[in-house]
Amino acid sequence: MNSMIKKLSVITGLCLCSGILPAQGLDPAELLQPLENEWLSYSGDYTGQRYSRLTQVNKDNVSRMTLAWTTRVNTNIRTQGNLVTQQGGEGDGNYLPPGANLKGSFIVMNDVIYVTSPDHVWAMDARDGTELWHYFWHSRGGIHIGNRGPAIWHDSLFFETPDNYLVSLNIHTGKENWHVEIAPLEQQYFSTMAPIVVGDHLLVGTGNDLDSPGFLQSFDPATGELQWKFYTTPQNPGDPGLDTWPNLDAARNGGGQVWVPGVYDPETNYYIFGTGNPTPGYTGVARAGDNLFTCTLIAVDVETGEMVWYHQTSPHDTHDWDSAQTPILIDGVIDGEPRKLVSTAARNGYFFTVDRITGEPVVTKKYGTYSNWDLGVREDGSPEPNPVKEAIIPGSIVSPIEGGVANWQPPAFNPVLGLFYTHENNGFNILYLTDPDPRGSMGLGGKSAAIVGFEEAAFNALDYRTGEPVWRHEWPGGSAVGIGVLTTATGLVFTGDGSGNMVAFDGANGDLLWHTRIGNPTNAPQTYQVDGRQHLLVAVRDTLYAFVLY
Amino acid sequence: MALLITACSQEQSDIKDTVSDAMQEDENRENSPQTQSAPAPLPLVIFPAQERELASPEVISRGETVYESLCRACHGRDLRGGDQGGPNLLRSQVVLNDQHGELIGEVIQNGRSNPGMPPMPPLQVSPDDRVAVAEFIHSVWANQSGQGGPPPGEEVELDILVGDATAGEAYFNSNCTGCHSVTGDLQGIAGKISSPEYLQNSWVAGRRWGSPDPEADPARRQVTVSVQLDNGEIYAGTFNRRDDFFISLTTDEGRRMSFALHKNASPRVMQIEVNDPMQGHRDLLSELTNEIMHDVTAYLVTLQ
Repeated sequence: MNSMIKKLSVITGLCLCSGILPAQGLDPAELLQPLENEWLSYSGDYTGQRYSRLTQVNKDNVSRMTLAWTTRVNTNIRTQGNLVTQQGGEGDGNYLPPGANLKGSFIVMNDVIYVTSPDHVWAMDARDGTELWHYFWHSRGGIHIGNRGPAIWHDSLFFETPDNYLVSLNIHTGKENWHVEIAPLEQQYFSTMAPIVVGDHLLVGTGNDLDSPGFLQSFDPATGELQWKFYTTPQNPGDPGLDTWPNLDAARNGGGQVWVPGVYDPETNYYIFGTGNPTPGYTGVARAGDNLFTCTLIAVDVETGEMVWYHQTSPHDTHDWDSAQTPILIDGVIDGEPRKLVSTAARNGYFFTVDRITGEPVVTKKYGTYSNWDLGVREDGSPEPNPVKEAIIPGSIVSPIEGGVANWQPPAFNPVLGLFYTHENNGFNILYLTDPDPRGSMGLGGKSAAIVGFEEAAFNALDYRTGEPVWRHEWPGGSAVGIGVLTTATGLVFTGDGSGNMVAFDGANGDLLWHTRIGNPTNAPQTYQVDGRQHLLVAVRDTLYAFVLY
Repeated sequence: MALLITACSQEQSDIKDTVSDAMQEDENRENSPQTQSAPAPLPLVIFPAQERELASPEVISRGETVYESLCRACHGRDLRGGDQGGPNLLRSQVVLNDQHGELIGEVIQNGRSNPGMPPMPPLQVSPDDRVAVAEFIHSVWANQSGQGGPPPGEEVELDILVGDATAGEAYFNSNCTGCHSVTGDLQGIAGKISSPEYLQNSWVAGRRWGSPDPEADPARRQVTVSVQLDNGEIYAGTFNRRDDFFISLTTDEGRRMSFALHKNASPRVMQIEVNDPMQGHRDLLSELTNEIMHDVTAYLVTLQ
């Protein structure tokens, strides 16, 4: 800690010399506050609700929202001039990264927006999008599919790289503090998750398609030292869940990646998150059983990394439908009793509400209108997969398609209306088994998938107590919509329609109140207030758009 | 790959489905109203082992010989595990982390014991041959397909024709003859689409599978639309796109027209009639069971 203080004072000195007065960093206690003026973590606050208390934009005036500024991120590595790109990384410089694609959450703090794309971080002025600093990571490789955003702890910003490093930067300068390896690239891990700060823990997930085990790790945000590592599948004889695998080798290679941030309940100190699909993904023949704890909602104690409870949302998945979707904490009422709950709309088309103290299932309800892969719901609240809907040699007609009914894009919840907002995609594909080897295939291999059509795509407002839609808007043009959701205390819901429009709904009844055709947002809309003015912030590929009322 | 692009009109960014993600984004770009930057260059490197420089053919060949005699019985001819319980080497952490035999060689020399796995005894192999085995394993690994898939194995003949053609004919006659005829548009269809898999995909989707040019697809039928305005005018043509706010069509004269759908629009759209000849296929999707699908395919392959 002493070296930390020393480092901070040095940086403060530097900043004063260059005439910039650094704002205060982020005390992790502030993360316990409900989402309002700033956006301090992946979901804005720990609940995952994406429910902003800002009220300036309401149902009456939202139609007058207009563009305040737009900016395209600059991926060029600049070595001279006013703004010099800070550089780091373990790569040899030969790696050619893809262009920027903004597919995660931004952090907005002290009038600065922090933006990430694989290998890049930018700080921008929240008033006009002017770039303040740029950091570029020279990569060793890995799959550059997206980055879900940064995390901030005091004066440090953290992000994960596709080649599996956790990098700590100074929030004022973009200069690197340190980086640590969080998973071996040699084993084909690649990392996309936005880290989550809880007190003096930094929770970090990684991804993999090559039959390697999934895990959640906690690091010391000051030093990058590993605090604990939680494997999502059994790794040793006697581990819980091993009886849901045919043998230890299958479990150790069984996947269950931690792709997407979860939520945190300060009353219990539980971090609650969903795990990825089992592997091999489409050939379950050599992993008979439910394959715990893949496709499972899991609560771990943040202090110890021990699992407290679990509820499996997709036993023995054979369709690459992970359950990594960000869940939402709900303080609700069930049968007249106040309950502490957590809900999730899984990629497989089922909606779940679970007691977040005990893991006891409360609601299991299909929200994918056309999902046809299951045989109904078990007594334990998990759906029962239908074996004929696996990939088979003559082809099986299955809905949804690989992308799922929902995907990583976050849903939202309005606690006043009690409505859980999520997209619903209804694609159909014919799944052919191409590798009938009894040992199973590897990764996502062993099948071919022919997408043969779409039933309508829709946007749902689900009652968290039943999973039934209170209203449902069918998109007239969309065959699939993969865009996150924001809701506000004035009852608005912001998302995209999949036809190139960002839209605002009346969250109570589904009336469309506003739209702007900026292209399909690649992340979830967010909102913040600066200079007394509410901004709506969203990204389309490499460009940010901020809307306000004048 | 073109097939997927045709099928998915929107990005559905999968967490990890990189191939279709990239393709869908390409499609998405077309759908976006803005000018987008040039397509991003593809990554040169995915994972280090895929960039590994392979040993000489002589070394690999020697390694294969040693593997065949000492390793194959447990680990399988294709390295994906064998009857005697040896694990799949292609997803082994030792293999993935090994560079040029330093880790694999150690396991060969000293054996290995892992909880829950049959122990591997030490093997009498010269240091050079240990390296050669490692290089052979890496050479197999280098052919790994994407998304964690294994290297392509031996071609296996897969017969997708398991259905009952008679039952398929009965289903066809009661459900499909409103639009199709086996002596008309579907005459000789099995000769035109010789792959039963493509034939099945084609009839379910209502568009020809494997055809590089969808415009050349004789089965493709245009969606048409007519829009009636409050000033009495009616515009008709082929359907372009529709969302909650606009509808767009192209008239027979080739003129693209768009109409606002909000209630204060002037002129105001009073009525929209869409004629989608493919609606029947869309309705099929949620009705079809695997069994009916296989039966109809078995019938259609008889239409040579």
